[in-house]
Amino acid sequence: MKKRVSAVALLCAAAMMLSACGSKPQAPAETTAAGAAGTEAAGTQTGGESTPGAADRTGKIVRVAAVDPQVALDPQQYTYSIVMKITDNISEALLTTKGDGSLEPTLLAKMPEISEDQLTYSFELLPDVKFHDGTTLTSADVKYSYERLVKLTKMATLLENVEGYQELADGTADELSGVVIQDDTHFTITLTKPYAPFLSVLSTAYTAIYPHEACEAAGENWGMTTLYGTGPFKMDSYQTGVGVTLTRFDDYHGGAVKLDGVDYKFIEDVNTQVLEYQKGNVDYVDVDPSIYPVYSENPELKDQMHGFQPTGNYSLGVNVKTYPDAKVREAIALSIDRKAICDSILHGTATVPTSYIPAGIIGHDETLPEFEYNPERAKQLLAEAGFPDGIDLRVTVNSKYQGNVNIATAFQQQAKAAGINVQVETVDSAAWSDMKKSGGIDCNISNWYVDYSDPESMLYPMTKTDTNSSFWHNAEFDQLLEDGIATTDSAERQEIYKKAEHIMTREDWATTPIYNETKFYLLNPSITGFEIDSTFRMFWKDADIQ
Amino acid sequence: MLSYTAKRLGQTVFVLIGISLITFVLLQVVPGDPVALMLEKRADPETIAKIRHELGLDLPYHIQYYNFLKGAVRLDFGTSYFTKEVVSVALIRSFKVTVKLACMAFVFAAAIGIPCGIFSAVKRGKRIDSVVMVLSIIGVSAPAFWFAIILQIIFGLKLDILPISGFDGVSCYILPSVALGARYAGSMARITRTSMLEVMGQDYIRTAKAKGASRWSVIMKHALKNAMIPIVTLIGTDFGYMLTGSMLIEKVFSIPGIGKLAVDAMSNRDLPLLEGTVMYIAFVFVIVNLIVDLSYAFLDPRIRYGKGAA
Repeated sequence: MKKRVSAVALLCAAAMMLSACGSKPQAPAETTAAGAAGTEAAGTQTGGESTPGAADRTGKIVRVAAVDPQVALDPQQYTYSIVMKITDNISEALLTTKGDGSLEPTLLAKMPEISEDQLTYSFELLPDVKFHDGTTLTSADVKYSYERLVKLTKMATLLENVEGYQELADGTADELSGVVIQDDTHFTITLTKPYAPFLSVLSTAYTAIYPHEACEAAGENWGMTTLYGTGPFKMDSYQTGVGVTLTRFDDYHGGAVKLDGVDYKFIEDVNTQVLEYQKGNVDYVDVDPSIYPVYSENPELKDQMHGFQPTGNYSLGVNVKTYPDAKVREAIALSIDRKAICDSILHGTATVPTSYIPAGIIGHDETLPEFEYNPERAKQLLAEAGFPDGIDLRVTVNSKYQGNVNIATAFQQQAKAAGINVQVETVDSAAWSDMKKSGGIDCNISNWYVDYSDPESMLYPMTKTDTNSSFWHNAEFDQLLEDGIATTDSAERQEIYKKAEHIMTREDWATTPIYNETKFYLLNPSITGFEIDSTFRMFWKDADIQ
Repeated sequence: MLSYTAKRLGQTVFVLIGISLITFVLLQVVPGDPVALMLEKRADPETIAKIRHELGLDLPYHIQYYNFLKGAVRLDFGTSYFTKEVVSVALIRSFKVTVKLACMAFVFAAAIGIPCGIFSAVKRGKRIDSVVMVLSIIGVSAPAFWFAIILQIIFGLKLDILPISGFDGVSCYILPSVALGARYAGSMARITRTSMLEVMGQDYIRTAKAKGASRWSVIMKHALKNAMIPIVTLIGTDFGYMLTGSMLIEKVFSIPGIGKLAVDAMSNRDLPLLEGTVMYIAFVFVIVNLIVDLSYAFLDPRIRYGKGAA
């Protein structure tokens, strides 16, 4: 008898064990540490347990759907746009770039004074600016933060024109000698050569100012468990897979902040993000191009969808080591039908570019025509270059960006008319970065956005470093870029960069822009005062919920 | 039995070493350098060399592997290159989530699949049998992510009775468990039906019926037990798969489980995290298979392990 029932018993026992296991107390979401002041209303939200992280927060809280960065929230180490979207509300740089590209002082009493030789910048900090840990901002914190940026290497070269950079980067010095502290609120920065975009650089998220002692004490936990800045919100918690919670910083130097907090909820899937928005669980969500057509015609959401054009582009880079003849590269540029890609694959959310330097920054040439699709001319050029039967072209795309894979596939069809036989190779991010650096990519589709509103930020990958995988070098172009940063006159710079771009995209055809995109997002209509700028920076400082 | 179990556990060590070696070699062969990925922008060769040195990636391969093994025996796989989280901590954190999802999905699949299979076998050829079999085919063949989205729209958005995503309450796990369990329920129903039909034709079932045993007593006591071996084999491996995480389901429902951890580790070439995750997955499968093998002895008295056994 015992034996007979053993099978059923075994199954039942297993099921009971497992279901008991399944109903174990949940791992606490550990929401809000310092910001638990409003817990009296805990769980009163409808469907309060629906999404992790924010159920017990009350007041004016904006909930943002975001992807999990999975790294420290430290732009000096990790340059993902999501990291900056979060930290821009926590920490601040000395200056801010406004929507029109002009600069305004953030942590400074006034705009810095620049010496006649354009080499020395004198700064005066705002008095009595508090960090979230209660300490007061001093010149020493500025110096420390810039030295940290150099030591962490990732974005160090932003400061390569500061005196003492090389010594610090090489490890032969342990300070950035070009930053000289006069007193707690006064310091100067000396450059080795004139560098026009310097103040724009000092407005980037990479140059955020951190409190010296707290940052040093936190070590590798900086941006994970601890992150202090001078910004309008302080970080309460950051949990992998869950989210980030921010609460208002009451001692904020920039005046009263209306929101009580911002919650970033990590939702990986783009579709799930929009569903959570529709359900009212999040107030802001980026709309991925792949799902844009699904929601753009939705009568409930249409009016809540907004768009902006980030300063940058998607381009087709051609490795000059594989294709040394500029005629061949021009033929490749002529064999991609940008209009068709914008209309069909990108559902009309993108436009055909006229230049590599996008509109809105110095160097953009408004007189140029759109890049054309001309397979006949491409064929002719290939014949002139000694390839009357066409060429084979291996296009490598990063599988992380499905959109690029679709574009490469469309290009495969379009290029046939020009006698170019395209093979699409899809690799993952790690392989992609590796191949890019080792020169293993013949042709690729990639995007580039400026870090600051200056043409130098758009074009620098094409000089010195080989970060763009085309390995193209042109002495005249390099010289123009040197001239561009040494000149402060905008009209002169316009001419310099216009010429540089012409060499790159219309003479040497080192890289060719494919499209300029429009990014879409959904925003709860009851939110006002929200700002997102063309360099992807997202500020909740002046936002309010009506 | 005990000596058999000990022997199998001993073999596990060699299996794990073999898997770790294969993983290690594969990671050296596939393109992709975590350092290049870390230093995406403005990187120069000197910086790359410096970081490689810090991570110990410039050491000879055999030393790197030896260091890994040395850590692995103490369950110390190091820290993730990117999150700086200790690998064993990340594994435990993800495992806690995955095990809940796996158990709920498993219970769902077994509670639906096995009774449906039995029912279908008993009602063989009837309309209900066809319906169950069609449903099981749909369950097996419908893409999990598609099914997941449909569930999200119906139960999360339209009816508004269950959360769309998240993992901080039992209710959050219902939709993912159903989405994940549907496929397994389908395959369990099919294998149960097949196995039951085979047993139902045996002489001893006829004998039991002839002796006057009630219909359900014949089905549950005589037939099902003897039909269990293929079912247990299947559900054992199914449970193994569930425990090693489902990348798609975890992504759609924003559940930070083992599947997501493994995929992220792979795409970042986060070597310590990847080695740790692979070791975990291998270990789960070895143990699940061992439990399945041992359960045969309970299910079928003719199977005996240990001295003198075949």
